Amino acid sequence: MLKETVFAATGVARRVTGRKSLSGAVVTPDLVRAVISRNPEFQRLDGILVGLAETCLNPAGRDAVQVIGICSAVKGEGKTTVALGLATALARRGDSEVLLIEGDLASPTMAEDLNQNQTAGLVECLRLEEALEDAIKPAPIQHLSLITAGQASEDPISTVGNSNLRELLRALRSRFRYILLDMPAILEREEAGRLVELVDGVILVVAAGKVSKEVTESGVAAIGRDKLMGVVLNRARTAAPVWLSRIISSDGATPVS
Amino acid sequence: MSQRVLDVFFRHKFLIVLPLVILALVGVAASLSRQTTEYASSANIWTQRTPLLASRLGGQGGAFTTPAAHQATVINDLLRLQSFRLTVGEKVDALAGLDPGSQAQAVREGTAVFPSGVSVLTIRHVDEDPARAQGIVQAIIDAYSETFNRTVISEADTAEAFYDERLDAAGVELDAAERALFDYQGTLDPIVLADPAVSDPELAALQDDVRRAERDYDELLGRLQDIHLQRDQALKGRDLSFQVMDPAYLPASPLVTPISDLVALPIVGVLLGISASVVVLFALVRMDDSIRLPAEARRLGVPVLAVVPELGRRRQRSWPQDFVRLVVAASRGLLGNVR
Repeated sequence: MLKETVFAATGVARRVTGRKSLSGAVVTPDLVRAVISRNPEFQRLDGILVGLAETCLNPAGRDAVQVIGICSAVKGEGKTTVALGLATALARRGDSEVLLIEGDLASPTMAEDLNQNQTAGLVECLRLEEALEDAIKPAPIQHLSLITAGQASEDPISTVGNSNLRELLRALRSRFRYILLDMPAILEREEAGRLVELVDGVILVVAAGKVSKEVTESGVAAIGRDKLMGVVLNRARTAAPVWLSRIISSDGATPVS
Repeated sequence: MSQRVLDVFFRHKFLIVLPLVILALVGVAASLSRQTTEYASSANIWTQRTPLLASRLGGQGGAFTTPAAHQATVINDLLRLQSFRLTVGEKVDALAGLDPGSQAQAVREGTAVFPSGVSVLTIRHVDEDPARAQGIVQAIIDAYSETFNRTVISEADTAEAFYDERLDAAGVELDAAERALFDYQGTLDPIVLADPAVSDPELAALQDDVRRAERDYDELLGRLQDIHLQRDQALKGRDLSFQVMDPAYLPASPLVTPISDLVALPIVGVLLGISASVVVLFALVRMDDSIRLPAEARRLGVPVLAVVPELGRRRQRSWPQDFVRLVVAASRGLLGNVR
């Protein structure tokens, strides 16, 4: 139970610390056990992420994907949270190995979020300073591995731009069934566009009520519809009562709670 | 769209409801500010046409006007005159402290004169001071009676002089007719005069003249007596065509404000508030161009893979809760230090 709720644990840690970002949220087993056991919301969230994982495994109207980029239009829409949750859901299937790569090289947070030692990461691998084996770290969940960003790169564009990343991904494809790349914001970081070229498909995370429709459409255009698998509407919440929303809903769909 | 409106409404419910609450409260406050404690006093007067004098104050009115309606018209016309209002104001003790202009204004405002029957006339005054309400009604009656009686006496004097002169003339005419008849009878044979079967046309004509002169004289005399009677009544203030049946009373309790007056402004405030709230609601809907609902995400033209609800929202504590927590924490710290 503890290992299966990394996503929830990060959310709880975020709540406890009161920080909007995952950065600095310390996940401890006691914290997870104490809060998760009495919070059915996380059980429901787990179901949603499993459904998302199934969708990614069998994408409608396109070939099967192996390297999936998780992106957002601007920073702070929850792409890291969704990437972590999706990776967890895929790993929990137990039939394949999953790798989560932190692709935001300019401002890495994953190591701190997951209480990992800040050692060698993707930056060091791309600079050929460290071996790939040393960068791959086991996650608290079985079948899930991590490559954190490592030391923050002052020039992420050139770091990503060299051919080493393409070679690195080629090597990883043979070892992991699914590779999730937590990308920087597509409209804010130039290297995100280069990362899009390297992945098989991109999931765009849209934080409900955070950015305008025009900005999100710009993000869709920047990714390109051929690579875009779909959007994940994150932090969706309707302020209206559920029963009233259900009555009003024209298509009879269950509203967001 | 409807879901977005619903969502925006509940998201900003306090902001949206605020105009409604404010305008409703303004309506209630305005309604309450308009409510004053007022007292009403009234008097009922019996009126009737008088056949004695052809003209009266303002005439007798038309054939289709009731006596009460006619008198009400006359009194209302008088109340439009500053001089009459000043006369009334001088008679009210409760208005003694006011200047003449204010007195006249106090008399006019809140006064209603209207027929409440064919012959019943009602004079009503509403005022914040019950004594003033009673005093003004009574003063209007007194002032009108004085004016009315003064007119009656004046007309009676004129009519008396007129009918005296005509009565004198009628007396002379009667004397002349009687003398002519007497003289003619003296020229006739007594046998013929005593025989009713014998007709004398000239004698008959003279007799008719005497009877007509007597009738005219009696009629004029009767009118003169009626005029004397009416003048005496007017002098004593007891004219039969204007009798106060229910005198003005001192109201013991204030008027009850009608419900419609109480709720009218609050209802207007609520309606305006609803309009303002609707405007605010749709302004908020228009201003928020972000994607909030799955249906809006689908309009991007790409599949919606998942909808992740917002979890772990920190509930806003109210200041009493914070205060209680602070007190509890301080108490525990104090107890710990004491131990």
